[in-house]
Amino acid sequence: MLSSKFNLAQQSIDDYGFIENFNNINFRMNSLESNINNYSTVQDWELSLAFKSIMNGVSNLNLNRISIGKKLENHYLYMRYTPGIKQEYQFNSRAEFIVGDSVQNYKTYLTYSEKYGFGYSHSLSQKLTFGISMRYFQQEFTEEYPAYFSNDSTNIIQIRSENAKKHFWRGDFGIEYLPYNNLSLSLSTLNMIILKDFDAENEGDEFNINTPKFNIREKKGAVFGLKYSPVNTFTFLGKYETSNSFILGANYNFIFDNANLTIGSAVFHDKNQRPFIAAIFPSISYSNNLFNLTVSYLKYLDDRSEAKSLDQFKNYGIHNIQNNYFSADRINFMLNFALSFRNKKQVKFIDLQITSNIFPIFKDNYIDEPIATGQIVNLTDKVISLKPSCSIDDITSERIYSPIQSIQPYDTLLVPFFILVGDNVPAFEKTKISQAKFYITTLSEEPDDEILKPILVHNKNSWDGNVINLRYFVKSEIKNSNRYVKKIFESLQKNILSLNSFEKIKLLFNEFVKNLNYVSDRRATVDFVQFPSETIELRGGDCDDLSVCLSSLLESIGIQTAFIDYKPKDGLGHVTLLVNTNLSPDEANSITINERKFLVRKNYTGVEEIWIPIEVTSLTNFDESWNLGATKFYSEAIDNLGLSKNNVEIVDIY
Amino acid sequence: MKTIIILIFVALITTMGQEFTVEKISGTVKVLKDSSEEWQQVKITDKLSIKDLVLTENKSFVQLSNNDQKFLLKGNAAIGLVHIKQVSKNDLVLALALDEIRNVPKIKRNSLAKNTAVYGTDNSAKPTSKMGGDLFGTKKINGAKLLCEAGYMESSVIAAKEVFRNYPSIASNFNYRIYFVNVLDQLELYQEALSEITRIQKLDLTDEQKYKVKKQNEEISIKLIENN
Repeated sequence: MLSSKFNLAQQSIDDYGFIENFNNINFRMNSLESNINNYSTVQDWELSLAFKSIMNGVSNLNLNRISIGKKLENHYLYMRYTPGIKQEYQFNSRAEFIVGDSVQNYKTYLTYSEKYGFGYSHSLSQKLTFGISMRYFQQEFTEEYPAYFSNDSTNIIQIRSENAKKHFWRGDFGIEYLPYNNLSLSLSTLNMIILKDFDAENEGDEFNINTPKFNIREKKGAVFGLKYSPVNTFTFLGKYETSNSFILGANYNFIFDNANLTIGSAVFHDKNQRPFIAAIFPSISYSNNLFNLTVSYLKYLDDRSEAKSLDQFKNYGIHNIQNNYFSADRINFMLNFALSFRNKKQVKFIDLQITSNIFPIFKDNYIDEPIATGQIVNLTDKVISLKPSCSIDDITSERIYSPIQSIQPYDTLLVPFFILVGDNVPAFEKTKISQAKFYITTLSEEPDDEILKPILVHNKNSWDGNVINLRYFVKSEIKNSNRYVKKIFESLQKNILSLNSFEKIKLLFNEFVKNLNYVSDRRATVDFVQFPSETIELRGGDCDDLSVCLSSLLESIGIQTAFIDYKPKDGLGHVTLLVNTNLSPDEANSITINERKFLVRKNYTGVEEIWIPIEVTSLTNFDESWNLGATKFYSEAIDNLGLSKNNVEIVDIY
Repeated sequence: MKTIIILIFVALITTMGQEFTVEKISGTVKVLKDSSEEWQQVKITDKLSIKDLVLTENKSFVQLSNNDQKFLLKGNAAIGLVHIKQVSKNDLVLALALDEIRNVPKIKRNSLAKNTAVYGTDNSAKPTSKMGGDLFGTKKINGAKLLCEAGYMESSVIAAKEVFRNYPSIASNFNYRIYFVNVLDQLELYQEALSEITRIQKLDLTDEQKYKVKKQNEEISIKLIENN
């Protein structure tokens, strides 16, 4: 029976040593042994070759591993072929026989190998990644034994052999959490999934190759990992296995322009190896944008040259092919190539907030108003110029660049993202959720970082309830409105050049209301506004629709208008129009003797002009609408100081 | 029931606050109702709304009452009844701020420029005046001064500002303007008084007027500093 004192051996040793840090993000500086959950910051394709030289007095250099990794958005795939992860043992029997002049033994051959492995990880966020790794193992045992034959004259001893080949899959899960940019915590399983087609419980003969004592041990466990950089150039690493084995390491990173050099060392304690600190593991690594070269040296602190017996082997067993009681010192050479060149990430997103959903009608607004604000951090010790850009599905296929920003070393900056909504954007009939992609770029066209966020793209009639934005509906059809006004004046057979602004307003309003036959409740729909042509076609609308339509008609012939926004008191506001007569205060009494029917306003050049309030929902005639509009305006805006108290606002259309 | 009584009471108070009764009258007194375009003769016991505007001809007067308030509008004056009320200093400051709020913002209208390309320059005849503006403006500024004399100082400033806005010829009258600077000074609204002085300094003034304005400017500035 196996003794319970033989637990897992130190599993978290791979050929890189402990050379990882937070700076060398373009290359994977580990493999599935120390990174079970397969987390990697590699940004695209990467090819890795690993060679090893066993320090057993014989000159050798073998390909240990060849692997390839690929980052796909938030997914990372990894595959490796490991011809060098192989350990062969030969044991001679105590029984000897003489053939000719030589003394020979019966031999037992034990071969353990890991053939290939796969890893998959998925980043749920920038802070949290989970992954799985699967590795395929093979073990082959050959035992020689004597076969006796005899005939009448001769006894013959023949050496025969029995062979057993076993293979299995080992699968493990892991999770890595980065609560801060300089701290990583991980948790992984050991031997969580074992898929095999042989019976490990068949004890067999104590000295038979079918005994499970020769099998690679499969005891389940877990590994806790920590990586922490108290300063940018120094990283401390540790892993603890539930077998009470651990590995501790530290490395120092020299950062150059587009390159860095890392020197580090690790020590480990293995429950199944002696002494307490079983080995030291120094390593050195150089990286630039194209490749990484790492050399590590695994030095066991006890004497590994002494031969071990088969009984010892059965007792200790094999827990880890590369690192076990019988392993010898070795030097590892790892060469990683970035198959597609990417610059080192110089800036990255900390956060991004969508500040404005998309209302297609407000397209001009997005030139001045950002749709999102990103919080960006400079990861370098240099001042960086960054180009923010974004694109939104259904709005623009190309990335729209926002103004270039400068960010100080290791500083954070709030960066606005702007979008351009072109005239060719389809007019959506229904509001939909689109995906907005936000990029930050520094050296090349490849973004240093990007974030995907859902954004609401409203339909063509959508409005955000902000009266100032009604102007976009006014402006959208100014040419159509102009044509419509022309027709009106032509049908009236009026020479428009002979009319002053007040007369034009009056004539136009009276014709406008003639063609309307309904008005819905006050601001019946707060998020839907009809275009002027729709109001004319539908022959009605609510106060927003009518104000927009009349404003568009008047503006199309050069008459200034402004919305009067009566802010909601009982849940519903009201919008109506203030119209510029272009008359001076001295001329006011030419249109009215009543001062409560107009408002004197200075235009932007300082000239005072007479503006008149019109209640657009009064579909009777101009005089009635003017009276109603003036009564309401003076009562709420002037007498009750609504304009001063912001209960009423004049919103100019510009 | 209690609620209904309270509501009726509040409604009565509100109604009373919204109406003036004509108590005494002499000579020619007219009223322009709300948004009406027609002057009407005022008779004793008429009920007038705060939205109405009352005018007296020379050698005429009208006495109006509203609850316990009585107001005598002397001859050659006009007043919007909405002004016959006590206004707090805060509300006066807010009302003065209206001068800026009501103006068109200084944003050049690029996108909606006047469409002269289609219709040509507006060379239409200007409308004809319906009544003499300066005469009516004088009546209104007289009404504002009467308000001040009756103790409605804050309200008188609001009424005067309205006249200055609507009647440029009255606004260019130095004496009217300086009168209301003094009212602001008495109300200890020094900042507002100085703003008004700045506007007065832009008028076409005589040397004597300039001197007076300068002196007043200095005096009010000192008061402003002392009060800060």
